[in-house]
Amino acid sequence: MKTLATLILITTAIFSAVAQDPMAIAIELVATQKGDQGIDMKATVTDDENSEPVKGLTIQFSGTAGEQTVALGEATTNELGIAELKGGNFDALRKVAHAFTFTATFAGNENYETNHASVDLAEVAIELKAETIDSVNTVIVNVTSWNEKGEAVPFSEGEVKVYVPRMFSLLPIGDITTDEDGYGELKFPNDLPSSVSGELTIVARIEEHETFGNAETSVVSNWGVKVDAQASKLPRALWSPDAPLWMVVTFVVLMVGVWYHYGLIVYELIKVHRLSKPTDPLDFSE
Amino acid sequence: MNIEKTSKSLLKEFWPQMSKWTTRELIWLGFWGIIFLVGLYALYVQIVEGHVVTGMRDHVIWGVYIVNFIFFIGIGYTGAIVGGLLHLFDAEWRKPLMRIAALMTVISVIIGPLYILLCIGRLDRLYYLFIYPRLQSPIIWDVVAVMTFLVGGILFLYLLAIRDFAILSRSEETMPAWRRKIYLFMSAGFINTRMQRHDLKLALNVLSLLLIPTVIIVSSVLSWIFGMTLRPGWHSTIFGPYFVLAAVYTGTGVLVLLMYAFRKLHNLGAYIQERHFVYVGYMLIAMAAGYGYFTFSEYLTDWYTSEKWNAELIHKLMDLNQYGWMFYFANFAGILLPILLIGIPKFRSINTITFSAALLVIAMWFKRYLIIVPTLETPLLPMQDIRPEYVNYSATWVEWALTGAGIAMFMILFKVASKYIPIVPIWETSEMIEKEKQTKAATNGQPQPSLS
Repeated sequence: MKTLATLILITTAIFSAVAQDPMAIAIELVATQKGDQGIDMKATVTDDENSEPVKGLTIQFSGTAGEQTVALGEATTNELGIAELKGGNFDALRKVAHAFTFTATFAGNENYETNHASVDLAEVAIELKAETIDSVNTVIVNVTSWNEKGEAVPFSEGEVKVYVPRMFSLLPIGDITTDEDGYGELKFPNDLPSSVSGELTIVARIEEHETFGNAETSVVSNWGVKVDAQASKLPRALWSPDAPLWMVVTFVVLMVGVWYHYGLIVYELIKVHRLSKPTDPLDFSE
Repeated sequence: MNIEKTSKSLLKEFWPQMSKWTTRELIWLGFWGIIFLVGLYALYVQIVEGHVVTGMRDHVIWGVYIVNFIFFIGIGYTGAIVGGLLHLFDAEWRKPLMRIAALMTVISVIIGPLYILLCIGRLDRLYYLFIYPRLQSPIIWDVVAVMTFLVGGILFLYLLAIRDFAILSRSEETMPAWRRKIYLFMSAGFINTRMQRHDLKLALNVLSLLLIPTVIIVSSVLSWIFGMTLRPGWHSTIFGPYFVLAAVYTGTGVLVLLMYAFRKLHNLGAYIQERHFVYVGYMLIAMAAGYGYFTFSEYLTDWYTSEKWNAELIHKLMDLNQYGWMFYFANFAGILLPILLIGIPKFRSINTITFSAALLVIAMWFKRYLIIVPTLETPLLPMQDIRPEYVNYSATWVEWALTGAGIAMFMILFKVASKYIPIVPIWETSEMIEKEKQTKAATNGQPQPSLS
């Protein structure tokens, strides 16, 4: 009995030791500069062993410029292993320098080891305007970056992508390549549907640039084609709320016609049943 | 007419087959039982692991399950329309075949919709169909039509069997008391009085007349699930009649196969005779010709206009590296061969008619496959940056196992039904035999030229 108890204790201890061994994790960090709206940071956490997302870890986001480091905030990973920080304020860093290191850190717990991931970004500012020039709706961008001396310089030969957010994702409108002054233009289509207000949000993005990483800004225009979903009449559409009257009438007439005759047949069967007794013999006389 | 004597004699002949299972029958049942069980295991795998175990993906959302649904439902429609038409025309020779036709209707219409259930990803939401029906949806039309038709099919089978239930309930054959009681209950008190005959005939006439337009409507409704969709190969005005004819044509082929099988298995050569095969064969020729015309018309129109997507679909169908072999087989074995083999008197025999029927049934299954899969592989929006298995459909073992299970269920249900209801209607066949005796006596043994 004593031996059995000892064995159980040893086994429990071994299992406890194995269970408490924290697992290594990997963190992938994406940061998007949004000018005065701060910075968006997205950390994706997976376990090293199976590359499966890890849920429920608290990730701390921070930024460093020169000697100064500021905490930007924290977020917890969801079932996809993603922790997101929206609009982290890094104005304090921008006063110090125009190149930053952004970091996502997991402090570690009993199940997972500590780890961190960083991205180095140089500051870039996208000025975005929506103007009608000679009756043509035009998107204008002016992109500025900063040199090593801290002086503002135009970002030339830069590629800026223009989108309009739709229900599920961003609709690409076109690409702008900036000139030597950092300017660029794009003719905007005039047939994009919007809500009743006619407003369309236009987004300009620099994506995965080797120096600036991701940067984004947006502006609201009134260039959308106003569509009032409620006022639209869709009499022939399958998704309209009510079936057309002719369809209802046809359906009802057909159903009533068929089921009435089924009823008639059952009535005839009941009549057959009432015309004899179960004990009566079969009548072959006629 | 001495129907009493003839019916007693027929029952005496059929009863040994109805009252016990022979070793051969048990082996046969076991064989199909195993196939059915494999299908059940496949169903378990599909439920546990989800539809990822099938070949259906985001683009090709329908596969052999829908092919089987259309196939079985079509067979079901045939029993009713052929049986109904022959009944209304009072074709005397039909009588030994009516039970097979009626059973075929009910069993097929029970099995067919099961494939829809296999196709649905969220079965737990199935009741939404009934609590949130949208009358604008062809899917709802089909659900209502199939259920309505199933009730009609069951009524048709029952009305045709009432007189046999009356004979069985009062027979001198040895049977368990419960079985006799069930026969008595099912006979609905029919004892063959003048009024009962009148009422039963009225009910049968009404139902036969009703089933013909019902079949045309429900089969058309099924076709409109495709026809109302803007996709190459589907959006066609001919699809309604095309589906009706395809259903009846396939079902008539299955009817021939069942006639052949039961003739052999139950030694029914005296009742399911060569003339029955020949008459049904004539029907097959007429339907093959009509179906060939529809097919030619459908593909010629698409090919001639050569709209971008239609042209791509036609190319897929005719390219031997894609669906060409299936397309040529479906049209050759499904249309041309039956016309030649049955149409030329030299070739016409029970065996060749049955062979033609078997070929056309297989060909018509492929035809349904060709209607569904290549079209889904040819969407109007091009598929880009997608894994090849998402673009091209290929059925998995799970789908084949469940296809086999459906066929096994058909075989098992037919066999079990044949143990409780005579495959050849006793009363009606007795009437036919007696009438033929009278005609023979009246014409001094000279054969009559009429088909009826």
